[in-house]
Amino acid sequence: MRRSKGSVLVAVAIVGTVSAVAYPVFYSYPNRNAAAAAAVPTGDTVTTQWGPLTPMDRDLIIRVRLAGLWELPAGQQALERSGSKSVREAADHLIKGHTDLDKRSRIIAAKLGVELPNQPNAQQQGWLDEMTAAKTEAEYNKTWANLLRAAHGKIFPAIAAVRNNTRNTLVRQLASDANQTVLDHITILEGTGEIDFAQIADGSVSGTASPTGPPPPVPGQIVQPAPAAEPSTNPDVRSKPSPTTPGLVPTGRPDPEELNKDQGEPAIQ
Amino acid sequence: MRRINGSVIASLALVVTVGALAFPVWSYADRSGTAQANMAAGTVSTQWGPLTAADRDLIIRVRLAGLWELPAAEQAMQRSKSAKVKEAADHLIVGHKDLDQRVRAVAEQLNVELPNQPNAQQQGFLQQMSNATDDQYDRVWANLLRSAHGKIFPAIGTVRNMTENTLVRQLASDTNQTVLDHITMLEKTGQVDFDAIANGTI
Repeated sequence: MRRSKGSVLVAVAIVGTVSAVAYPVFYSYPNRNAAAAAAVPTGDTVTTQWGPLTPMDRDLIIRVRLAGLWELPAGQQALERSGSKSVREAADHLIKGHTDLDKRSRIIAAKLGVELPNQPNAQQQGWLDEMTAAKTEAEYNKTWANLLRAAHGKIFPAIAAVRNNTRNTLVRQLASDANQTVLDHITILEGTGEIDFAQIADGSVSGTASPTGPPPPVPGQIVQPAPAAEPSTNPDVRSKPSPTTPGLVPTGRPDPEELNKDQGEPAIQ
Repeated sequence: MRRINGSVIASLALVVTVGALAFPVWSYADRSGTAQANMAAGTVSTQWGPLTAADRDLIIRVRLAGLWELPAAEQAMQRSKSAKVKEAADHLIVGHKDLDQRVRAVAEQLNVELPNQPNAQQQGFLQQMSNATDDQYDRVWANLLRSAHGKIFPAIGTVRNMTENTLVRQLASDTNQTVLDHITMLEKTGQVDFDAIANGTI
C-alpha cells in the first residue's frame, strides 16, 4: 500500500511537471494565435501579366478596399456630427482620398482577379460603433480622430514594405498611391489637435528588443554642427526636391485607367 | 533526524522547481510592458517632445544617406551614358542636398551628433560602383541605390507613425516624399532586379 501511494505521488508529480512546462507554451502567451495569423497572409504566389502576385500583394489590395469601406462612412458621419473646422477638413480629405483609392483598388483587383470584401471587417465595424456611441461633440472629435489616426499609422509601414518588395507593377503603383494618400490623412488628422501621440507610440512598439539607435545626447554638451553634405563637383541638376508642406501632400494623380500605358498592359489584347 | 533533513531538502528542491516553472508564466503578465519600458529607457525629453532611440536612428540614417548617395550620384553623372540614369542621379543630388539641410537643422536643435563619413557598408557600395565595368555600371549603380532606399522606406513609415517628436515627425514626412521619388526614379532606369529586391539578395 505504501508503495502504491508512492507511485501515485510520483505519477502526479510527473504530470504536474509536464503540464507546468507545457502551460506557458500552449496557453498563457496572450493573443499568440492572433499575432501569428495577422503576421502572414496565406496563399500562393500566382503569375499574372503584370508580374508575380504574392499573398502580401493581395493583402494590400484588400486592406486598401477595407479602409475605404469604413473610412468613407466615418468621414461622412463627421461631416454630420462635428462642428470642428479641422475635423471637417480631415473628413473632407478622407472622403476624397478614399473615393480615389477605392476606385484604384477596384480596377486593380478586377485585373488581377482578387476578390474584394464589400463590408468593413468586425474590428472596423466596432470602430464605427465607438464613434457613433460618443456622447458629446468633444468626445466625438477625440474618438473619431484617434481611431482613424491609429488605423492609418498601422497600415503606413505595411504599405511601404509592399512598395519595396512587390514584383507586380499594378500593386507597385497602388502602393505608391496609397503611401501618398495615407501620409496626407495622417497629417490632416494630426492637424485636428485631437491626437494622443503617447498612446500611439505605446500601441506601436512590439517585441522585447531594445530599440536600436545612437545614445541620447548628453545634457549640457553641445555637439558641433555638421558640415553640409554637398556634391564635390558642380553637377548640372534640374529636378526639384520633393518634400511638401504638411496637409499639402499632393493627391492629384493620373486617372487609374491611364496607368495602363505605363504599366505593362500588352499591346495586343 | 537524517530522515527529516532529507525531507527538508526534497521539499526545498520541489519548491524551487515549481518556482522556476512558474516564473515564466508570471513574467508573461508583464511582457506587454517590456517593449514600452525598453523604448522609454533610451528616450530623452526635448521641447519638441520625447526623442527616442528610433528617432535618433532615423536622423543618423538620413544624414548617412546623403553622405554616400551624393558621391554615388555625381559619379553616375560622369560615368553613365544612360539619360535615365543621369535623370535619377539628378533627383538623388537635389533630393539629398535638401534632406541633408533639413536633417542638419533638426540634429542641431535636438543636439544629436551626426556622422561626417559614410559607414563601412556604404563605402563598400561606392567601391562596388567604382569597380564596375562600363557595361555593368548602370545595373550595379541602380540596384545598390534602389535596395538601400527600399530598406529605409518602411523604417521611415514606422517612425512617422510612432514618433512623439514634432521635428522628427516632419523629417519623416519629408524623407518619405524624397525616398519614394528616388525609388520611382531608380526603377524608371529599367535596371532594377525586382526578384533580387524581393528575395533580399542585393
